[in-house]
Amino acid sequence: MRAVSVKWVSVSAAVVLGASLLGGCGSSSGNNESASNGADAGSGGKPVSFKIASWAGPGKKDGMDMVINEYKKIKPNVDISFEEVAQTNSDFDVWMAAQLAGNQEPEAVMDFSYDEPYNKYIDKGYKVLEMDPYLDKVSPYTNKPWKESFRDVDLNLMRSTQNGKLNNIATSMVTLKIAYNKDIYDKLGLQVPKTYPELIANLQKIRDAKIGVEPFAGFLKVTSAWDWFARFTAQQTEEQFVPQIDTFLRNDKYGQDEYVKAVDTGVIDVHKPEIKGLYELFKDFTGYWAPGSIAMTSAEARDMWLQGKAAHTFTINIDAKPFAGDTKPPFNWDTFEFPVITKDVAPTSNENPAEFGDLADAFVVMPSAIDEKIQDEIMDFIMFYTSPEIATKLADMNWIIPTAVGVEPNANLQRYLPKYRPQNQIDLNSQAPLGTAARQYVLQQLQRYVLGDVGIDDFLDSVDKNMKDETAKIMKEKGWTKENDYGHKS
Amino acid sequence: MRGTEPRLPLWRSVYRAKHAYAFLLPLIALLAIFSYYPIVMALKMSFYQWKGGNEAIFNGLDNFRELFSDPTFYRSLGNVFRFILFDCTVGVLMPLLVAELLFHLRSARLQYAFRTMFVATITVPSVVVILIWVFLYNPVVGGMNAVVSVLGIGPQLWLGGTSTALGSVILSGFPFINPIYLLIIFAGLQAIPGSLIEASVLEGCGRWRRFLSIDLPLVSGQLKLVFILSVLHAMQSFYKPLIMTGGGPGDATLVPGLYMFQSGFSRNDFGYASTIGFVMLIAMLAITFATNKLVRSEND
Repeated sequence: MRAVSVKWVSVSAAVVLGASLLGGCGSSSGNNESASNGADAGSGGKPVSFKIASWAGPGKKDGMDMVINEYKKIKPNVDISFEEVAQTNSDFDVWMAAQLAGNQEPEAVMDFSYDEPYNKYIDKGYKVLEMDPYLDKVSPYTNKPWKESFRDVDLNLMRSTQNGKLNNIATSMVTLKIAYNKDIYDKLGLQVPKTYPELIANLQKIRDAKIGVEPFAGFLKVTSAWDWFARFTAQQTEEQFVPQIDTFLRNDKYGQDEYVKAVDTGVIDVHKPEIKGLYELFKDFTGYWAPGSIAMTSAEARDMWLQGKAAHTFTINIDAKPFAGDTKPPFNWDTFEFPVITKDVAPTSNENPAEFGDLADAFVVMPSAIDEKIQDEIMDFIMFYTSPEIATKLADMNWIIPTAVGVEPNANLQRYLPKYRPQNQIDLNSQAPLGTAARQYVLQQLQRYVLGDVGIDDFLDSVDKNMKDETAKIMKEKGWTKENDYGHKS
Repeated sequence: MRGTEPRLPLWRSVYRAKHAYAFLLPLIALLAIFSYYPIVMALKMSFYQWKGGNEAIFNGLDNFRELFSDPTFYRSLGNVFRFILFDCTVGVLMPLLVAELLFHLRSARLQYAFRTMFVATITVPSVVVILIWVFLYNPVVGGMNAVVSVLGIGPQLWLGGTSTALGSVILSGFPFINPIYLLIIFAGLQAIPGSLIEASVLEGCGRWRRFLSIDLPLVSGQLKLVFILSVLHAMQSFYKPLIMTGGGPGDATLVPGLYMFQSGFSRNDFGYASTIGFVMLIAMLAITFATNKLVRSEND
């Protein structure tokens, strides 16, 4: 009897152990929400629940929780949760890749705008919601077609250059400025620069003064500072290419098909003086960056400036609140716009700069929401989020610049308000339209170029070769040829 | 006599050890799911063009052809070779040196205290250590340039310079004493019979002679294990370059692990990433096999 019970105990223990290990490793909580059929959900119908995920950001969770609570008052049957699942956007990307691979992704995410959602989701085969049809729908929160909540120029930026469709809706605008140490400016008698040569002259004076302060805290470990510079400069020095390249959609920016065609037909050639000149200008600028900037992130550069070790750095409006509170600079400071590229620096410059920034906090509705047929409910929440009333509350709370029209900017954002014309994406140097691999390759080679490891000719040759290889790869993959007009003729 | 015992049929020997097998089975199943299945999948996906959610398209040996003609991959192999070289020399010698010093401490209490101090470093998250090194290496606000100036060396770019970045990443493990390796070697030294040590003392054997003739041969099994672990650890280098440099400047600190990560998660080319992973797996198995054959220990 005893032997029998020992046997049963052993077998039971093994089974329980196995089950608990398997259960612990493979527990699923992703798609068990009620798959409500959206039409009658919301204020009086079936309950609907969905999750929104993003990476951490200043005030992001507080802002989202506030909106969710307000929404709950009018739609008590809609249960929304928001989770910051990563500290950085790159960690978030890895998390999302794992969730998507396991069909456990949240129903919506807050991500970057522009081509990011296309590259990260659609290009991988995950069909996120196309939002174009919703633009013509009347928003219950403004009683106007939803598209009237945004400027056309911003909607144009949000659309993918790859397929021209709206797969995200950015809710805030990131304005980029250069923060400077006013005490150093006063000490050295410097004036705020209006042109690029004036900026370089200031940087040189700071270096010559030998006061233990680096002229500029930049960063080149990641692409953003370079992307900003390329986009900003190209809008002054490379705008003449737009009619030659923007031939299919004619939306003042470059689609992948347009870009591929331009490379294939020789319109884009990195050896052309305008394109080559932009790389040279960037090297000239980085010559005044603090040593080691190649391996620095934006946070490290900003910290260096906050410690008074550098006179300038890049700053975005999201810094405004921390700079007024926890991380207040221990010196007088202000911001200025990246100065105008003048004709004496770049002969093709139109001397008409465009804004130097980004669109952010973009909602993307994931395939799981479409599978659960709750995309309409999520879009209703996004319309609520972008309504002037809520956008104003968010702007006041987090000091952000909403993309929604009719919202007065927060008074604390004076240093960060846009001053130039709206931007477009027409740079021929970062090679972003060719995809992440091409963009990363340019950054890698650029790091070597600005360090002086390679000269301009070798740099251009390697970038040119890679650009053509990537173009050939895309053409092969998508079946584009000159004969079928890059997919536009059958 | 044992050798003449009749062999039991397989099912019968399994039945005799049924409890052990019952307990092992769930663990083996998990090992198969989480370790062997990914290896098989990596091999399979190496033959596909696969972006994640898209349907994978069979492309034969294209990924392998591309990989073996990819200069970036060879550059990353060259970089990881330097990691291996450092880890299996300095990375083995330093724990051996410290283990010897600890073993020869006469006070058991002091020996325990020092051993605890060395091993306690294992509790510090490696990411924290790496971020401290990133700060130290900052040419403007970090302290490394001040340290080397004492030695008469001028300011360096450290992580931001093409010629200094890889060395900076490798040297960030200073003082290169892996607590696990230290414990393995120390345990080997403790297992040396006291009678052998006493005899060596009576024979007038000096410390250096004793190290070469007694300690080293008798811990060679442990050293072999540490050597193999070091090689494997170095080949899998990934998070240090990822956090410290992102593989840059250019590809100066790119290693195959990071290249695989970037191919998969930045460029969406999971087929190519699988190919890198599979080739590295084969390389690691080959190196482990070769090390086992070439490095002989007392126990072999």
